[in-house]
Amino acid sequence: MNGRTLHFYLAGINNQNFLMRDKETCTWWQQITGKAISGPLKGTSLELVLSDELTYGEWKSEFSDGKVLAPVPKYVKEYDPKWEPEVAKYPVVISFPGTALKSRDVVVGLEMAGPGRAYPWDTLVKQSPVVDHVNGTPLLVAVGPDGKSFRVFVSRIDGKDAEFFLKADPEGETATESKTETKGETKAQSNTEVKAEAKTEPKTATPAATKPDTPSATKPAAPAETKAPGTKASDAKADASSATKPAPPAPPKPWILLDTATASEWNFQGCAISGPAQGKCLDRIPALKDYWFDWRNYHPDTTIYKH
Amino acid sequence: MPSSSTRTPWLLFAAAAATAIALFFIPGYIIRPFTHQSAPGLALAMALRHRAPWGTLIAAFLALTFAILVWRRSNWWRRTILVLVMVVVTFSTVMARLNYFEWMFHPVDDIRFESAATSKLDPSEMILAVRFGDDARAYPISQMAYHHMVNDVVGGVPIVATY
Repeated sequence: MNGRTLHFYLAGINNQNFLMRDKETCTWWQQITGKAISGPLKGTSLELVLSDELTYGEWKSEFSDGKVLAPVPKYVKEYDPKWEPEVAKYPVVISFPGTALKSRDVVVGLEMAGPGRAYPWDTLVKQSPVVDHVNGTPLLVAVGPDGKSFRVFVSRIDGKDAEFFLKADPEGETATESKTETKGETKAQSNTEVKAEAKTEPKTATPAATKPDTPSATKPAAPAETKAPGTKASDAKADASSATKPAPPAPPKPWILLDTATASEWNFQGCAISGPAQGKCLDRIPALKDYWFDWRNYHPDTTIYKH
Repeated sequence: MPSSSTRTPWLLFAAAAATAIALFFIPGYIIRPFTHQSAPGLALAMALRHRAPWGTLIAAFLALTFAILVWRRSNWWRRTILVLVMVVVTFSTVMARLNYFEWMFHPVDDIRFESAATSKLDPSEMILAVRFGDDARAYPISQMAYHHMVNDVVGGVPIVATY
């Protein structure tokens, strides 16, 4: 903050979203917004860093030289793999009756200038890739090949809006058509700030990614992972009887998007891997996976994606 | 009731003790999990909590001073009240300096990383990921859901990852 490095700690809770304080000034900060809400730095905001919520497998495939936060040995036993399902059962203390979603519905919310938009996770998983327009910006919201990871891009190539759809696999399965959605559009406005942020990546301390006390990612609707099925038992059976030999494990299906503007092929990182746009990458939009009640509480003007 | 000559120190004792206790218990009551926090209530809680470390100390000192003043002229049950109140005042003064939220969710004091090549994390586990330049880091959600906050420097940029 203003050239000064702040160090944060958990200090409380505000309607099931954490409160942070920094050791240097003791200012209070709201986790989801990064805004200073009380104390010496009240009125200032941390800069949001572009972050991802991915499966480790997806991340490792992209950043094999990356670093992984090591577990703290004395707390390993306290890491609860069922934390999210358990938290999802807790009652909420704020709700927004009359909205299309339930409090504990998981959404992907767009962090961009102007009214944001929330994409119900279940809808995204079914319809990905989703092409949308928010505040005049064409967007591509994609759930990754693992069915769990997601990213949001500006679906514009060299200044030209583009739509995207999943490339059909070699076996000829039907490609998922992209979905165009303009419902809930409020007003067209420039979004250059967000684009610039996604391009250059922010440079100051910030909440890299925020969650309420009640983390999301609990919905089981994700499609099957790309792991090849097969067990030792079935393999042994196949050795005994060639007549019932099962098909060899299928290799992971390639996850490739095609765009309508250049017919190039794009990977989950939003980069063209072949075609006229090869080498280009789409701009990113910061997005947060959150419970609806929490997202709506801090984004009262948000719209909900419908299709 | 105390006589008129001792009433003033008793009132001052009560005021100082109430201040020390309120500085801890009011924000503690408002900022508690699974309850609704109103905007005015939260603002009051944060303002009190911000002042509590030195406020409780001053109030506790004053309360102790007035307690000593009235001690000699108090009978046994008044002394009992003085002791009990001072216990609560001391508790409030100590608690105003402790972050009990971190008793449940311990912070990472010594942040360490392992390479993607050596990490035993299951590929299906979810992570938060941040990258600056060539510095890409993954924060497993299984750990973040416990620690909730990790202060880090990625590619020379100070960040806090929260979940």
